[in-house]
Amino acid sequence: MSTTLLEVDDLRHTYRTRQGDQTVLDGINFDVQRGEFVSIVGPSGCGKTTLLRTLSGLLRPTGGTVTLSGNVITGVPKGLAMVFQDYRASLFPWRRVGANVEFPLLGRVSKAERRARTVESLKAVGLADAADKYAWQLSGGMQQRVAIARALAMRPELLLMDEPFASVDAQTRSDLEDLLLRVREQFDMTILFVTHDVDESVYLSTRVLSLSKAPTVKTADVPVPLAFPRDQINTREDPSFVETRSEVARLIRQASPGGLAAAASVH
Amino acid sequence: MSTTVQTNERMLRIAVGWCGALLLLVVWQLATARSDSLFFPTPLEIFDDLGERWFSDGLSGGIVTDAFFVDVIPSLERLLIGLLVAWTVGISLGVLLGRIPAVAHTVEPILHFMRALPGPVLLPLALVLVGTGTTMRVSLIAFGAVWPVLFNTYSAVRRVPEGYLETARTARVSRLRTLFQVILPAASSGIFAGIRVSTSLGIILLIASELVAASDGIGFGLTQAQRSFQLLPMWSFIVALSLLGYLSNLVLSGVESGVLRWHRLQMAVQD
Repeated sequence: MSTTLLEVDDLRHTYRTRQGDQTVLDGINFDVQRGEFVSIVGPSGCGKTTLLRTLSGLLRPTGGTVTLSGNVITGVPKGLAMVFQDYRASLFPWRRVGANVEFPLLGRVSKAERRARTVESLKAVGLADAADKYAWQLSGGMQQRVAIARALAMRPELLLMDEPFASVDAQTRSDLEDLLLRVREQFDMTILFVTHDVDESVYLSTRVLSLSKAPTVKTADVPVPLAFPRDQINTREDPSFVETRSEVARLIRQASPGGLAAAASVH
Repeated sequence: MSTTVQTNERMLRIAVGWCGALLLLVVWQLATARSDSLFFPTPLEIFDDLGERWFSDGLSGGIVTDAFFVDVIPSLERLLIGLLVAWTVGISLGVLLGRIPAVAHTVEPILHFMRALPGPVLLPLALVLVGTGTTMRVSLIAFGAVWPVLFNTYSAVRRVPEGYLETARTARVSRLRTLFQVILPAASSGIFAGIRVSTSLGIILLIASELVAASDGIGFGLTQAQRSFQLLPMWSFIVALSLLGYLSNLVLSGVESGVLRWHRLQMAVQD
């Protein structure tokens, strides 16, 4: 019984610059069902960030509509949380970790509820002991976990993530991937995940969307036929993982004609 | 462990600083004690006079003398009110300019023009406009001291990382809460830098304003003493002024290190 949570209909965005108009999104369509984990991959400069900003209501698109839970988005909607790539510019250095997690709840839920949710969210990301530290006293991976905890505290229906693991080392990255899958289960969230890493998109998702270079359109919509829970070693060895991974990689290469990969493959 | 090392180093630095000050006092004392010049009393005489003049009423009398209420208190009052006005106006206007580009574009050139006027130049105008009362002195201080706060707030607010603001927006936090709990804290170290500069400017303007048409205050006492050739009291007033500057800086540092503790620690971590 899947119901549609997010509907993106003919989404367009054009930036007006001094060099003339620059179309970044050129009519994008897709739906996200409740409970899905959808990754969006594409070549660099494909307008992934613009897409996320329009979905989160931070940027008003120049055409098309985004509908969340049946309501057309005109500003930042309820029931949505966002995790940014740069945790340094998103966690407040003057607030302690617990106070950062609590921040979106201020003036919205009671103090007792705020405390309970903060504790629960920090526990879910394994940082129950760090509540009284400042974020900048923690490692990069831990800081991104604080940002995830803050998103969890909002109890979002839809969690948007903009290349959240791009600034951490490889080992931390796989730890964070598994942590994300765990909390997704625990908090029953729908996740839309932007990344430039094909392996990561297949490992995490139930479905992968690929985008073309700007002006961007959707080039493929690939379901991932892998069961949960996933495992960093076994899942990545699974033939259907390898197959899906190759398919997505091929689609991305086709989507960027004239790129280095395409030039090398011409005999 | 590293914190104790830092604390020790700091104590040492403070001790060296005080030794330097003490040495200067000794040299001053020795040099003035030898000379017969009337213009240079010894520091011991000056501090004696200063204590006698303002702090000799004993414990039962509340320590400070009546002269303190004529010479010092009016100045403190003017300085404090003038600075509070300057800080309030400076921070509010700075936030407005930093947050609304249209306001900044229209107002900024005018502000730079006004800032270029040295405060004391406006003294004659202020005398004519607001008369010789406290209002004149307070508004002169406020006008002269507003600029560093305004421009520091403006630039600090403009440099608040976009990520902080987007975090607040996606959390659907109200504009008011964003102002007080995101923008102002993020800009606080810049604002404090402006407040420090404005305070030393304020003291200069305070004295300038008390040199004309005053009947009390440190600036008035200073000129009175000088005109009647009472050189020892004149020196007392000069020392009182430097004490005022020193103490105000001490208070500000105290408040700043409390409010900006996180900032200092963060800087230490990132070094």
